[in-house]
Amino acid sequence: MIKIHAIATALVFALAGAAFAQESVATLRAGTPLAEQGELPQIAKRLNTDLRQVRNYPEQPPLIPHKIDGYQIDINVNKCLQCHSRAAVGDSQAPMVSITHFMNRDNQFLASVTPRRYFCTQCHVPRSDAPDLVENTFVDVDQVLEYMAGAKSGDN
Amino acid sequence: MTKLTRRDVIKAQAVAAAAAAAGLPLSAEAQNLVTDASLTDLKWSKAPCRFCGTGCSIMVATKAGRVVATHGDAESEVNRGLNCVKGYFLSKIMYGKDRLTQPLLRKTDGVYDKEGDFTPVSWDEAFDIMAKKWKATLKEKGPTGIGMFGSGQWTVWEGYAASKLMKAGFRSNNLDPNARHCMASAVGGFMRTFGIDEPMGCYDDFEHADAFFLWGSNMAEMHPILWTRIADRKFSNPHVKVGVLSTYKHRSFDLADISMIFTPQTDLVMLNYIANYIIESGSVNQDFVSKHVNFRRGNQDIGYGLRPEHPLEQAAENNDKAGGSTAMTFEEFAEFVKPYTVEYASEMSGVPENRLLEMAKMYADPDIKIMSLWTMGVNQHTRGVWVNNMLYNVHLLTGKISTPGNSPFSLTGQPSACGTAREVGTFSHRLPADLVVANPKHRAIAEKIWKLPAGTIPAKPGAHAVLQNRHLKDGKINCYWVQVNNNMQAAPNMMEETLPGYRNPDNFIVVSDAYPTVTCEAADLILPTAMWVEKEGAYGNAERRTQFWHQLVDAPGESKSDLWQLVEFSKRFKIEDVWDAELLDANPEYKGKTMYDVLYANGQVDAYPLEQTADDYENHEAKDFGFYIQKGLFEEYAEFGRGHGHDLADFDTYHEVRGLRWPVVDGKETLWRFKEGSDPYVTPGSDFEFYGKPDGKAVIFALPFEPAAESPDEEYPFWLSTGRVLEHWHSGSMTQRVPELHSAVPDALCYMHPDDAKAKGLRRGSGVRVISRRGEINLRIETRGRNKPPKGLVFVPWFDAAKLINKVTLDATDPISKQTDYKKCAVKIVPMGA
Amino acid sequence: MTEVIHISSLLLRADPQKLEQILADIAKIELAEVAMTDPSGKIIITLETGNQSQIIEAMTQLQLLDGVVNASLVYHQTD
Repeated sequence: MIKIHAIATALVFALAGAAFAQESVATLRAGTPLAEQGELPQIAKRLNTDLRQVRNYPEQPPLIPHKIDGYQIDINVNKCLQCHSRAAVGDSQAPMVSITHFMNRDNQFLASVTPRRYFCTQCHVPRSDAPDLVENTFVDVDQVLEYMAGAKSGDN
Repeated sequence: MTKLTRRDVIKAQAVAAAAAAAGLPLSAEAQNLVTDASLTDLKWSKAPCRFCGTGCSIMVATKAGRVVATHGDAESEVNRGLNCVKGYFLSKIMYGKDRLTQPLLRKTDGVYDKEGDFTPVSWDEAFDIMAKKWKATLKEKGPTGIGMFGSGQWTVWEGYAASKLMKAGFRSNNLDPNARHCMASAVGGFMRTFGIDEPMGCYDDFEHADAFFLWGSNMAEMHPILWTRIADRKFSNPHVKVGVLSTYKHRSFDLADISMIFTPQTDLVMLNYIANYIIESGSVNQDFVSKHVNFRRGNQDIGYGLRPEHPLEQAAENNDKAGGSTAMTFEEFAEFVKPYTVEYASEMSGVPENRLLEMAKMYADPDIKIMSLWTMGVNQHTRGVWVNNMLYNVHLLTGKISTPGNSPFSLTGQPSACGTAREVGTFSHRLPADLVVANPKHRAIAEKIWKLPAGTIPAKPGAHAVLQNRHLKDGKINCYWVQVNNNMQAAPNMMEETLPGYRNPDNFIVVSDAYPTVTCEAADLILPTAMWVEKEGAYGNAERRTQFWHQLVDAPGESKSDLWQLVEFSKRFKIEDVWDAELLDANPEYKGKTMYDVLYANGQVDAYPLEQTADDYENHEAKDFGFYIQKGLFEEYAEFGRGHGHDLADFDTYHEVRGLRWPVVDGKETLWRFKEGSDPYVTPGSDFEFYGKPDGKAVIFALPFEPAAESPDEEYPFWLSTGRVLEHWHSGSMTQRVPELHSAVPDALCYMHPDDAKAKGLRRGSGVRVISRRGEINLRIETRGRNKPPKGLVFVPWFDAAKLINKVTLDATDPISKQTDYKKCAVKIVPMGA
Repeated sequence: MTEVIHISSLLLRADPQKLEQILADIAKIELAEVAMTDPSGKIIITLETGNQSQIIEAMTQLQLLDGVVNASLVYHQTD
């Protein structure tokens, strides 16, 4: 069973705006004036933990918990399917691609992954050690329900 | 209360998703699944995606005033349930913690000061100072002293309200959208070749074509969902071929049968070679060409859209009549393209002869249905209109156009570049439905529909995007309002031509945005803005599909939509403040009214009562103004196009369907225009009719190769091309705030060939200064990434607010379309600290 | 060993004339649970299965029922 992280219990409906005067506002520049340059960070390191992340909502494509540097996904080879295809998961113990990936444009099942889902990295992306630039206050439906019901959402 | 299990929640969501797809209301029947009725009101609604021009439909789940989930709409023809990674994270784009919630004005000691700090003010105070500044400038300089920069991300009615405000209210044509940076060359191409804007084909072409050629387009990253349709077509049908042309290798090459890396600017040569091959191999569709095509010779030596005193402009012969042309015969055209042999094309482009030949053969073969697709590589080009024209040339010579699978297709980058910027006509030279301000008949049509006196709309086109920045720097425009775009980050040559204008002490700059962007930082007044599903909206995608959505959640704090801001601001002006005595004396019935009365409370825009708004959705603007303003604006706007080849369906229909492709005639959308049988506007018996032109014939243009505005030399030995990445959308103001997307691609890097790096003693991760004649920035070198430039070219994406590559780029534009060339300038690469 | 449950929902488009018979047939399919029906012939079904092949199996069975025009998978989630 996937554990849900208890991230925050209360919902943040109203965000604190700028209540005082600010010299600079462009959050993503961390105070560096427009005409100047900030410190140049090193190229971020790819995370390679193999730890699956909880999804924000069930429809979200899972993030890739490992490095994919140099993976070939082209007209000849799909490196991802070497571990994640139906037949490969016995050996690899990697999660199999969802069966939604076997349906064609007309919702019919195919014998293998549909070509429209062939390029995995259009939806699935790896992570890095780069710190967030800005906090994101999205909360998932479990937390919304928890807030509304005033009850603890169950994790059976 | 009954205990809810996690599984109940998932199951309820599963049912809700299916019900939404089926268009079924969630009824009590569904409740046997769940133990708490409050779960079933997890509400799913449709909305188009907020990002690119593909126009995917999204299902959005809301609960307690929050967006809690999004997924691809299974019922949508465009994406059939799929999203790209950005689309899947739409749920989070509105929830960056730094959302703007109050107007912010630069002040010192409680009063406005250009050099002051951003201080929270009320909307009243914000509009007070804006109106004061606008009135003072109008008095001093007249309507050309004010300007507005909008967007292909405006909803249809926002763009329309802005167009009325500027062109009819303030009587200034200094209104341009950021689509100028993105689509203007495509528009120029359509208008020159066909006399009517936007693609003749549609996305259904993907399932019919036998070959796809990408000209300067990385669809795998920029139009991922359309790319899934090409991948699907190719892998499911082994005969289908894909050719990719670009100045550097990128992800789209992963699907290519024919890979072609070419020297920048030589697309002009390769397209003339294909035309030459079609002619010399006897593959011209003589019947089609004789009936449906004219030939014209375009003016040459047209300059580079730089400031007039620039040596390149001084030297150019035809920069004042760049769009001009003269009639010629087919034989003369054949003679014109004759020098463009395969040897010459290969020598110029660097593409091997056999690949050029293979491509030319496919274009020439009448049995191979071809889809040509292009985006910024073609449009952001000092000869962008030419390349668009030349792409149509090769389709017209063979008659491979307007039929399923035969489709020259210009893709768009913004969700409503077509629907708003182009169709509504928010360009400095345009009016709705392809009308232009320079044409007195067109102005008369607009004035009649808008119930305005004759002579209200000024005849002279206003300043376009790049010119607006020059005018700000030169103090010719003093009051400037930017909505839904981040032009300080997006405009070229930032340090010389953009920042100086915004910070010019004579100027007052207002920026409306949801987030504190780089452009906000350069502003004097920031207006907090509702975004996406925080308001009712409409977008038009690249295949002429108009899509609507309802307001699904409330915007944070005091944020207001662009529409509300535009219309509310109009109340601050008496018509005497904005129209001159001459116009008013001739039309005294307008005296004493406000601009709001004249433009919006005109008996048309306010014709639909509040009761017509949806019961189950909020609509703040309608409530504030007291009538269904979105419907009124849309219906008035639709009058421009109905019966004139741009027919839109009625307002209410669009809330029901997953979009319709115009012209919508008798309730039916049009898939292929200009072809008898699929386009109701084609005269029966004519087979094809290019009715945008008076004689029904499209134009093939004879256009030569001319060099780029700036090419590498000894001092600046590298080409610089800028562009986008899959995970971020344009300037990144939404996607950089989604942790998953930021983590995937946190920094802009300088993509470089490993041999070039090695020659400079650099390696992956080395810090370098990327320097042009105009500015420089620091970046890290990437030699193994997804983009693989050839030797002599570097690629840098522009999404990163902390690394502004437009400090380096050149403000050269296509002289016809005025669109910037972001793909070609010369730089040197110097190790940091050296 | 962790237990994984696959929850999915399907949309069936069926001949409205045969709705009653179809619903009776669906009731015989063990894994399928009817969540909603609509007189126009739309039926929403949820499946709770231990693995993905059971979903495909159930879909095949459903598609073969007399009067069912099309079955499409709308939603799939593992828990």
